[in-house]
Amino acid sequence: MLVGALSLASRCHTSHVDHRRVLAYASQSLALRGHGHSVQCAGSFNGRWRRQSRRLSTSSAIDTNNALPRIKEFTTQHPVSIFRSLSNDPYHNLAIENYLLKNSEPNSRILFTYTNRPCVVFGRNQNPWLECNIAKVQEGLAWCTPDWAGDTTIKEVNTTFEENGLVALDLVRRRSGGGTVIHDVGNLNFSFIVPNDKDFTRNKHAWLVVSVLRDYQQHREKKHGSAKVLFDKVRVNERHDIVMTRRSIDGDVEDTQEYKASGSAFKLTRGRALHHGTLLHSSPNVGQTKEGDARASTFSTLLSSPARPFLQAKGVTSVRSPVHNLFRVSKPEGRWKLASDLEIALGSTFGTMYNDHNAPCIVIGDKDCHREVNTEIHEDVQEMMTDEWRFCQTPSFEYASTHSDGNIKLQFDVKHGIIQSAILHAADRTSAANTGFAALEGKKLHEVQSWKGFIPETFEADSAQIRAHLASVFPKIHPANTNGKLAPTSIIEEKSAAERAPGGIAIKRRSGEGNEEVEERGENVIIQR
Amino acid sequence: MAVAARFVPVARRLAAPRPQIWRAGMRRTFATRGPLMIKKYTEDHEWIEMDEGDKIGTIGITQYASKALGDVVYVELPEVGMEVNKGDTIGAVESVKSASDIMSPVSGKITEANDVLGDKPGTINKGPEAEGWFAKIEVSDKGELEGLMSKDEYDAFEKD
Repeated sequence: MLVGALSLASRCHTSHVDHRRVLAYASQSLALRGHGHSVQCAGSFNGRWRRQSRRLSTSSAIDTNNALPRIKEFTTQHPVSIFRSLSNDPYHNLAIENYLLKNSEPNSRILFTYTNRPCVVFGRNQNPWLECNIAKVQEGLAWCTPDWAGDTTIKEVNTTFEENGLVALDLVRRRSGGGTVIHDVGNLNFSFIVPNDKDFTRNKHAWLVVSVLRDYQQHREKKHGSAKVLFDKVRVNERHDIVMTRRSIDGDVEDTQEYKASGSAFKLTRGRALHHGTLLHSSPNVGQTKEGDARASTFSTLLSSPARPFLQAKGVTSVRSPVHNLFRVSKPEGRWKLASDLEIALGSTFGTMYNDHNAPCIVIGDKDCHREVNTEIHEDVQEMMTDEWRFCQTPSFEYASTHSDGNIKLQFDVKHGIIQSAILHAADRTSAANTGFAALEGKKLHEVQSWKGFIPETFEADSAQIRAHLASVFPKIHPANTNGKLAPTSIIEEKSAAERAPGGIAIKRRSGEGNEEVEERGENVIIQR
Repeated sequence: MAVAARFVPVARRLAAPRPQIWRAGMRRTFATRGPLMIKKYTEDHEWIEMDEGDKIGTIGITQYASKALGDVVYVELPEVGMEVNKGDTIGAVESVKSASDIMSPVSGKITEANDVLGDKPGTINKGPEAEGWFAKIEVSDKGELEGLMSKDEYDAFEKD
């Protein structure tokens, strides 16, 4: 049985807490309690998936404890292998992925799958101030649960990282190229690590995922009825994204629009290629039920930056695409089952693609990122959590804005995250005002806690307004999450909320330092460059 | 005037992409290039060409690599003065959602980075083996060049 390899692998780590967290939900509905998380794979799929079960069992003699620490040796013995992380920590999963890319045998082929807790992940050469609304990301994601009304299990899912009805969102810079994406429990991350040879194309593995989706579409329809499948056609587009068309339900008007179900990003280094993507199978945060559902717009709000009109940046900007869930689930545990089915199907198809039906499947997790277990992974996690990596690795950019009917102009450059040549130009006021602003030079932008000292009081009403503007464009940065929890409320004292309101943009701000309380309404708050 | 007339064509000749005939099949080095101008290739599709003094090497990515990568949209250049070992990452390019590392073919000290690429990353695609060069390096061990591929060897490797 499938339980073989997977449970052997799992036994190494079952004591670890995150595994229990992840699997508690799956085990409620499935019949394999007592077998750790191997439960996810058993009985999940018939036919071809059973064959995969048998294949996996034959490799049960593998010393899975050492697969990761001795990855070179392991991938030499097993040129095709499957790794599956039970960690939901984005830093851990990205560090494991990078470790596999850098240390596996150069000709080996690896499939790695994982699901992250809610987070915003941006590309290697992107600007976080430009790509997302940092203040909103730091505030957290309002978890919408109308689908689960009356269902208590979903609450358990979130208790580990929920506070005041808000789920923390990590802000993470990854090592691969491409744009910004939001992850949550309804996304399965797939990652293919293969030789960067003549066989490799950017579409090759995206088509593998598409073929899995097409197969699974039929399977799910047969088993659960057509209402559980939300897509009609699925393909790889010119941007190497996986796109779908919606299925018309109940005589719905036919929708020919293509929605993105997964992006693609790549990292190429030393003869190796990594292709990963975030497969949106059933996110509770993406509108899947009624029109006008608040969820539909949640993600889009998080990715709309208030800084956009004021920044000129080098590097890579994201291409916005409408997204859609591939499947409908009716219970939270159904989502885990769905993700698990997709992981097995990906593994099976991956083995078939590279003619290795005995590809071992190794289950790994947070424990593998501990300092004592794997120093290299641990150090990579630490590095990715630093603000030096998250913010100072931003490609150079310029900031410029005008205020007070064009009388006041602000501008500075940011290179390696450090502010250069900050200039404040006030047309009808003393030039001495510039001195305060110039004090920004040499400071790291993400470390600026307050703009109070840099904007002179002599601008009277304008001073407060300019400070409010700067704080909305460059909000105070919280340290990277270590445990998926929101930063303590003391840090969030200066919450900013820019909300669309009739008649323009409203900015409400309460500063923790002074007694100023500014409430502005109207377009004049945000001034076009 | 006379000076300018003599120098402009030389500069142009150096900056312009080499004629197609070079890539197409011309295997022997022309006498005008001189035997000292060594150009070598790596398996990671980088090239290094030594200057006439045989001290400073210019590094770039090959025509093949540029084509495989697609439109370059961002280039991360090395810091001048950086000491590197052979195989160290000295920068990166991003193209079509791919972040690709650029490794140094030899050990040495970076003496110059092609700042044009910072503002116009697409220059790499226009002339990967000419105006789209990446960085210059003061080579610390010329012996390392011996281990790299010649044009012929690279062409054979690339076709594999």
